[in-house]
Amino acid sequence: MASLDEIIDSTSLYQNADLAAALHTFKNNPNQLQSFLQKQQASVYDDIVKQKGTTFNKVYGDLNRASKSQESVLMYQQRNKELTSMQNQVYNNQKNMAMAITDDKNLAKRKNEMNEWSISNKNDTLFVYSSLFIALSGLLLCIVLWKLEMISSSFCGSLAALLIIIFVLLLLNRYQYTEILRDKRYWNRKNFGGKYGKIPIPSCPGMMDDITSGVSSLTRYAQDAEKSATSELDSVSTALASSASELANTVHLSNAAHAVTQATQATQATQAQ
Amino acid sequence: MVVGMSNCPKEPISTDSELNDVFGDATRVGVLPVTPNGSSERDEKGTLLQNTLTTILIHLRKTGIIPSSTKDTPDVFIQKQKVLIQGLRLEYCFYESRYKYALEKVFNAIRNGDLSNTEDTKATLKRYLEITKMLHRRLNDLTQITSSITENMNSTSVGIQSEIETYNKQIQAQRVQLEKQSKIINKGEAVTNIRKEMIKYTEEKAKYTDNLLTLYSFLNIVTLGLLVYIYKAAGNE
Repeated sequence: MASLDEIIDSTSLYQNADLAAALHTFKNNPNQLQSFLQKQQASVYDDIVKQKGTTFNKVYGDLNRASKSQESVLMYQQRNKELTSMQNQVYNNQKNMAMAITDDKNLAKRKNEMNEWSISNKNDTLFVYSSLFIALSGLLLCIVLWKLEMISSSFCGSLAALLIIIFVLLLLNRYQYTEILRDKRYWNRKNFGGKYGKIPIPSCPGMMDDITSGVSSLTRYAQDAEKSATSELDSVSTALASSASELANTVHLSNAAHAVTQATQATQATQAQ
Repeated sequence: MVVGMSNCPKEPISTDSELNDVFGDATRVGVLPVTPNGSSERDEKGTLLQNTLTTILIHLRKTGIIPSSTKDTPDVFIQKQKVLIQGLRLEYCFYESRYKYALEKVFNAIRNGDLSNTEDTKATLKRYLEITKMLHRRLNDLTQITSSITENMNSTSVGIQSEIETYNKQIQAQRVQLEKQSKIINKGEAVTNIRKEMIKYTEEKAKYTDNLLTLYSFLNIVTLGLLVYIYKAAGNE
């Protein structure tokens, strides 16, 4: 089996021989040489033009695709912008609506509070009116009774004065309570004016200790209360027992005294006879 | 649309004087510089350096040949981009037809030189060869610039995509806000309606109390009048 180098060498040799023969033919026949050259040149020309065209085709195709892609992205961005703008409008409208509703809610709440305060104030006035009506009715009754001479004028006067004083005191009380102590927003709230200070709040770190000590002190107080209650019960039962015996003694002594008295009376009656 | 060589208009040149023409007129401007770039702006293979390409692209962007996606509206941008792409094809065809003509002239000169190897033939061959090389460079430059424009478009698209993501996030965030607001509105409307009904109720209560106040006022006046009348009657007796 021949080696590869030998095959290559023999092939090259054949090729060179063929080339020499072809050149010899072209030398003897210039027209054939021109035809060969023209053919080769046309082939080279086509190759060059084709390569250029292929390269540009690829680049131009890429450009077209990139352009289309960019157009799509751009339109997508445009749609997104429009969507964002629309959403902003909706957002602002809804925000205004929400704020209006919140304002309405607060306004309605405050209006309700004001109405409630006003109604309570009217009810208080109604209470005063009804008190006045009761006082006037009482006065009227007094005067009618006095006119019918069922009561004396002094009693009638003192009764009328009492009714008037009670009404005036009631009026003053309501007035000063509403003007000074009553809260101006919530009818049922009373202002203490810081008289009693603030409610102490236990500090968080020592809160558990405070709770523990509070529970233990409560337990101790409960135990002490139980003990004192027991001792009190004992003392009460003792006292009851002594009282019972004293009562029995008293009853016994009263019976004896009664008997002595009866005997004395019987003796005196006998002596008188 | 992929444009092949067959799509180039068949406008072969007929004279040598057209070989050195530059693409462009009053209505259309080419992307290639009027004066070809020198050897200092090229590498050893003759292709344009990256810096040179960047400079050319900046110039094209400044002159508005390459449209800007940020400055122009989308419609204008798309229109300008179409003009650019069509112009690139026309420019390539313009130089390609001259290149083919020059190449043919070169091959003719080679064939003629083979037949008559004179100085005149050599000079002709050299002249056409130089023109062919120049046109070859122009076509290569155009291909490189087209490729750079493509890369630039892709990078711009990436930038726009990041903007789109930002918009998407914004839209999502606002959607959440809208949902919250909607809840507030629905809930708030219910509470407001209740409060309005409560106001009506308090107004009714106020009317009722007013009536009672009127009644007691009347009773008090009557009682007071009666009291005065009886007192006076008693005094007269």
